[in-house]
Amino acid sequence: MNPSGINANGAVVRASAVSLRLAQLRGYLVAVLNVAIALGASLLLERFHFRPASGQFLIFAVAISAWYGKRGPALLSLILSLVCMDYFFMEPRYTFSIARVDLPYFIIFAAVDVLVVWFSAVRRRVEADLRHTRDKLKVEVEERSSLLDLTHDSIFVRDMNSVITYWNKGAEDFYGWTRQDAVGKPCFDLLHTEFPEPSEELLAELLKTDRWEGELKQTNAQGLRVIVASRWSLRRDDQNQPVAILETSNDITARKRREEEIQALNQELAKQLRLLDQTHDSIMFRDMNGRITYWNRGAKELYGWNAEEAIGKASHVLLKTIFPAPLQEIDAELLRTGVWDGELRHTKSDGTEVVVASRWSLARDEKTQPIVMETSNDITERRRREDEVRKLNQELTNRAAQLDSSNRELEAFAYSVSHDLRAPLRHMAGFTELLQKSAAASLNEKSQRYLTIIMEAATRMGSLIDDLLAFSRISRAETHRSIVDLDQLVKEVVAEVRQDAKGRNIAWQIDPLPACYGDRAMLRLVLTNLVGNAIKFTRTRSHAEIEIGCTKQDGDPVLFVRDNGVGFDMKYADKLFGVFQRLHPQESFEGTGIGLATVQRIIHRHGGRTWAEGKVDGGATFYVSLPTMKEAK
Amino acid sequence: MTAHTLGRILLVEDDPRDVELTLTALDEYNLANEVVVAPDGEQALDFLYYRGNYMQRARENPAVLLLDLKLPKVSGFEVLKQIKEDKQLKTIPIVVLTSSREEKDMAATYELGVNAYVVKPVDFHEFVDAIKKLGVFWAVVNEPPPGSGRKREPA
Repeated sequence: MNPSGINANGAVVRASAVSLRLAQLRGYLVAVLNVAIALGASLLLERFHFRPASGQFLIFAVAISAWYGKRGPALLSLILSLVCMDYFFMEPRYTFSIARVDLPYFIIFAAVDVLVVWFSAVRRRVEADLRHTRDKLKVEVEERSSLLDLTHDSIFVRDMNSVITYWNKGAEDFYGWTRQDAVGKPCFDLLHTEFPEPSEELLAELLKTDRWEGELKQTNAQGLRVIVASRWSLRRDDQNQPVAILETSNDITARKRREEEIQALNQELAKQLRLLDQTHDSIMFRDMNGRITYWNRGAKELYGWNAEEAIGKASHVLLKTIFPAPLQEIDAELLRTGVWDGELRHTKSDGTEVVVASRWSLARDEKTQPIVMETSNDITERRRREDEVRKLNQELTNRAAQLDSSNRELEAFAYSVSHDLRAPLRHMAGFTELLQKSAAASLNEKSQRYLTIIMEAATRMGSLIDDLLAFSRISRAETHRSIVDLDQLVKEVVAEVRQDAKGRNIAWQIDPLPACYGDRAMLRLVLTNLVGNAIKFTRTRSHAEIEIGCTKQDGDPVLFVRDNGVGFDMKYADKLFGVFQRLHPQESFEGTGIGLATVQRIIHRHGGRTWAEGKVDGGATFYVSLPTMKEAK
Repeated sequence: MTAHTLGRILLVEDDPRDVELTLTALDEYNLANEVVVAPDGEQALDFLYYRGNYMQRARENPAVLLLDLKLPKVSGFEVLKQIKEDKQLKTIPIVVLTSSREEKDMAATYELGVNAYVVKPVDFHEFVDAIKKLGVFWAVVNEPPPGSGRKREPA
C-alpha cells in the first residue's frame, strides 16, 4: 500500500473541488467587478455632467452578469446594483434613503433589473431543456442507426438533392465506401446508377405514391457493376414536404447472372429443340411418370396431336402403346443400359394404328430427375411391305412345292409312259409282223398293205413318245453349266449331220462364234435341231446354202442359222416353236414337230429368246439369244 | 435236252406277249428251249436260290439273266441288287431288257453293277434283231464264269 498514492488522489479531489469553488467565486467576482465597472463608468460620466444617463450602466452590469453567470452572481449583481443606485445616484445622494421624487425612477430601475435577471434565468432554463432534448434525441438516433447497422441490406438516406445523409453498415460492406466517404456525396454520381426507366418518371411515381421499387445497376467502390433490387421510401416533414429518401437495396447480381445463364441455357435448349423440329423423326421427352414434356414436329406429323395437346399427357395412354414385352422389363432394361430399342404399335389421333421403330434413351435433367427421350420412325409401310413380301414368299414357297409335286407327278407320268405305253406298241408291231409272216400266203396285196400301215403307225407312235419324253426331260433335267466353245460345238454338230446329208450339194458358211456359259449337252441339242432343220428344209434345193453366225440384239449375242430352203409363211411364225406344230405335211418333210419346241425350251432355260424370220420358198433364219454369253467373257 | 442244260437263259418278264416275242426271236437260233421264264422278281430269286418249284433243278447258275425292271412283287432293281450282293450269284451276267429309256434307270442299274442295258425297240425287226444278238452273244459267244450252265455240245 502506498499512502502517498492516497494522498495524491486526495490532492486531486481537493484540487478539483478547489477549482470548482474558484469557478463559482469567479462568477461572483465577475458580478462584483461588473457592478464596480458600471459604477465607475457612471460616476465618470456624471463628472462630465451626463446626469440623465447616470446609473443606467448598472443595468448592463446586471444583464452581463445574469447572461454569463448563474443565478448567484446574477442576484449578487442585482443587489449590488440596487444598493449602488440607491447610495450613489438617488437623492439624497450618498445615503440609503430615497427622496420621494426619485422613488418611481428607482422602482422602474429595480423592475428592469429584476426582469433582466428573470429573462436570463428563463433563457438559461430553456437552453438547458434544449440541450437535454438534443442529447436525448442524439442517443435515440444513434440507437436507431445501430439497429440499421444490424441488417445486411444496404440502406442509405439521401436528401432531395440526392446528397447522401446516412449510410449504414450494409451499404459500407456492399458498396465498399465507409460512412465518412459516402455521407455528403451526391448519390447517383457516386454509384453511377442506371435506372430501368427515365429518372423523371421514377421521381414522379415516388412523389405520387411515396415509394418505388425496381432493379438498378450500380457501380461499387471496386468499379464493378452490380445489380440491386432497390426500394425507395419518401420521407416528409410535418408540412408534408418531401425531405429525404430512404433507399434499401439487395444485391441480386448473382441471382441475375444465374437468371441470365438459365435464360441463355433456355435459349440454347430452344435452339436445340428447334433443331429437333427439323427432323422428320418423331421425338418426345417424358418424365419417369410417363408424362410428355416435349413433343417435336415429327411427332405431330406422325401421331396427329400438336405439342400443346400432347404435353402433360401420359404418353403410353395417349398413344395406346402396345409393347413387344412387358413394360416392366423394358423399363428395367432402360434403367440398366440407358437405352432400349424395339418395335411398338401406336394409335394415331385419327385412330389408325402405326408400327414404329422406337429408341428410348435415358437422360438426366438439371434436377437429376431422369427423363426418357423416345425417338420413333414410322415403319408401318415397311412392315406392311415386309409382310407382303413374306406372304408372297410363302405363296411362292407353296407354288414351288406345288410345282415340285406336279413335277414329280409329271416325272412319274413320264416314267409310266416310257415303260408302259411303248409295250402295247411293241406288241402291235411285233404280232402284226408275225401275222404277216404266218399268213403271208393267204393274204392279198391290200391286206398286206394294211398290215404294213399298222406296223408303221406303231413305229411312228413309238418315236413320238420318245421325242415327247426327251422334251419333257429337258424341262426336268438340271442344267450343268460351264463355258462352252460354240465354234467347237458347231464343228461337231455339222460333222454329225453331214453324215445324214451325204451326196447333197450344201454350201456352208460358218462365222466365228463366241464362247458362252451354258449346258453343253443342251446347247448341242439346240444346234443339232437347228442345223438338222436347215438341212431338211433345203432338201429340195439343188444348191443349198446354210449360214451359221452371230449378231447382237439389245447388247446380247444372238446366234442364228440361215438357210435358203422352203421357208415359211410369217403369219405362222408364232406356231413354229409349239409342241407338235408342223407347217409342212409329213409326206414332204418327216418329223414329229418337237424339235423347235425343244430348242425354245432349252433357250428359255438359259434366259434367252428364240424367234424366226422367213418367207414361203424364200428361206428361213432362226435366232436364239444367249444372255449368258456375256458372262463368259 | 436234259435237266442239266435247262435254264441257261433266265428271262424275268411279267408280260406274256413280250415273253412270246422274245422266245420267238430266240427261237431263230434255237435258243428258246434253253430259256426259263420267271414272271416276277420273287420267282426269279426262287430259281436262283433253288427254292419253291426250283428246288430240284441242277446246281448251276444261268449263263445270262434277261431282266425287266418293272416287275410285280419284287422289282427288277431289287433282284439286281440281291444278285450283285450275293457272292455266289454276282458273277452271273445280267442284261436289263426294258421299255424305259430313262437316264435315271440306266444310271441306277449301272450303279448296281448291271452288265448291259437294252431298250426294247418298238419296231419288231429291230426287236428281234436285238434279242437274237443278245442271246447269241451271252449264251453262245460269251464264256460264262465257272459254275454256269455250259452251252450244249452238239451230240
